[in-house]
Amino acid sequence: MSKLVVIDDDRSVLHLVRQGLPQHEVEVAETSLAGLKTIREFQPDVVLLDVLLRETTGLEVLESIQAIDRKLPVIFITADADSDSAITAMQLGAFDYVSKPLDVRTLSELVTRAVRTRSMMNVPVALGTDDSTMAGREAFIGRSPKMLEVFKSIGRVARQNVPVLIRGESGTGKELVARAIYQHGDRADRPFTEVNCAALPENLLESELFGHEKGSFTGADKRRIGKFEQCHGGTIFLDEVGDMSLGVQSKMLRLLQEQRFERVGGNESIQTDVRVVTATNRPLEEMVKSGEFREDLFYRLNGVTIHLPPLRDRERDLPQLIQYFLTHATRDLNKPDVKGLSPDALERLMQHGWPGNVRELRAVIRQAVLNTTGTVIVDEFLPADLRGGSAIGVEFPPGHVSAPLIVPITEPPPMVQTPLGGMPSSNLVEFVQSRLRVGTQDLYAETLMMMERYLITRVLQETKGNQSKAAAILGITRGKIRDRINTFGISVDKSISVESPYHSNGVSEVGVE
Amino acid sequence: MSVDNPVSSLATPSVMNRETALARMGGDERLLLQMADFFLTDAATLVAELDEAVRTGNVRGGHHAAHSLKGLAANFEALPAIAAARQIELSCRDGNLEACVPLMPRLKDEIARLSAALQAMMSHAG
Repeated sequence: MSKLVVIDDDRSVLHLVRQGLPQHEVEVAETSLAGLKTIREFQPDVVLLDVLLRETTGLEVLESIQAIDRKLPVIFITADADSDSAITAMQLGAFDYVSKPLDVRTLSELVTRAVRTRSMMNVPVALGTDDSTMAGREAFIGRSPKMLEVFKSIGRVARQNVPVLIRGESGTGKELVARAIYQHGDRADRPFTEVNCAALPENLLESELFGHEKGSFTGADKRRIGKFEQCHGGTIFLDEVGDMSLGVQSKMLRLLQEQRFERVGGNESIQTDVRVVTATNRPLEEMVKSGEFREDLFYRLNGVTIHLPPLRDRERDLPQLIQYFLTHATRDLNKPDVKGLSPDALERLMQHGWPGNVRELRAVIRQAVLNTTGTVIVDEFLPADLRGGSAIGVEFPPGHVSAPLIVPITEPPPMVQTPLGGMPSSNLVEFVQSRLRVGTQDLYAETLMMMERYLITRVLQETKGNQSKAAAILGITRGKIRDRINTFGISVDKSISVESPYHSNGVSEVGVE
Repeated sequence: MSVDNPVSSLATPSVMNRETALARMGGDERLLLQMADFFLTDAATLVAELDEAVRTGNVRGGHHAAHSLKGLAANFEALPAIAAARQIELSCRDGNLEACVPLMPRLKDEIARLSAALQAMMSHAG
């Protein structure tokens, strides 16, 4: 459970937070002194701080908190939405602010974001190949030659103040690389923040990065401090930088060249000192040729490039990755009885092409653990797409000895109805029924996944594979569609006619003319 | 003013907005009543503190008390009380305690009205 400290001399606020956010462990303090003491002892993940306390200002307290832990996210509680002190707090590095009267839902979302940011900064990314370094960390697993190169690059580049561009297919772990660079670098004691450039439309992205002045566009009713100003001295990770519009690209270029920028609608030139790490799965060189991406920006971002190999090029790492995700899945999904995979299930995983890379592998392992009713994951428990899909095979070298996670089968596999039988099922009733029968503990997430899989496939079929049109119909970003295509292994095929999405071999396909 | 529906006659939209307040608390009726209880307990103390601050020329104390009252009232979307507290808060912030003196009666009135409305809300809820 994440931990929260609230410092406010208004008892009703302390009560509201405690009652309204039961998913967090909350400690309260009515004075700054008590609050600082509580922070030292309780070691929270997030602090909520009133901007005006009886004996001091919130800004003074913020400085004291930063002296204890520079990376601890602090959310200010202000009385007015327009508060100058809140804006000043943002400039000093507060995570965000929320104005009274407090809304429980808004507060909850904000605290959740802060907890996630805290975790990204603090959960160490282990680069070792030695299993003993993995305990308590998010592991960057790899013994394959290409991953060893990645680790070396991270080590070389972490302490240099140059922009880093991380390249790799979707789901290969680009965020982990960015965090590893941050944690092993000189700015590890300053904040780290992530922005997904594909997730926001152009004007919102510009505002998110650079801030905006009051009245700069419709809806801009107060000045906003952007990430580059807020994260001064720290590190910013811009994911999917290839999705940045040309307008934002120009501003980025200037920022990288001169370390200055203006807020949207503003004249004041603001100095910044931020380390920029970017990532993309798009072919930037081609985009430069076609004019979609600025050549000068490309060269600026490309101070150092780190290439993350696709999973199909990391065959040596597969058994260890499978083991890692299996351990985590059985723990997270509370299925301690699941002990391993049968030889045929393992073979299936080794043969799969993994278009969605490590992210797809993780999803498949989790799905398999959910489906499994006994102690062993057999082939039937693997998602149907895997069992019918085409394989860019990974060959076992001759004389290969199976990984220790294989368990000999002593009893016949139970008859189980695979929830995702055949195609993306659209039969909600049947699906829920079958999952209830097997005693699932994660039905909400499973049903959402089943719904998404069907919905995305169906809409892509409708738009004949056109992702932009699909995004418009669904009301989500293209980036999200691409992400789901990879996670679910939806294959968008080019063929002469529109194929039926239902194939007997169980592959989810969308035909495109 | 009707006597057969005391809740609605006191909890008029202008004094407070129960629906808005409840929505902010995620629909938690119990939490709403607990917050009302906090107001009823703390508002009186804060008004007394404000009186004392104005009397003794304590600008900082006055600013803080007015600011806190404003915050408490804001939980219930009590616009008249918020406005009254804010006026005093701004005067204190500008160091002008004299300007607060004629503003105090109105603030006390609005706090009293809001308190009555909250009392009615609590007893109606049983």
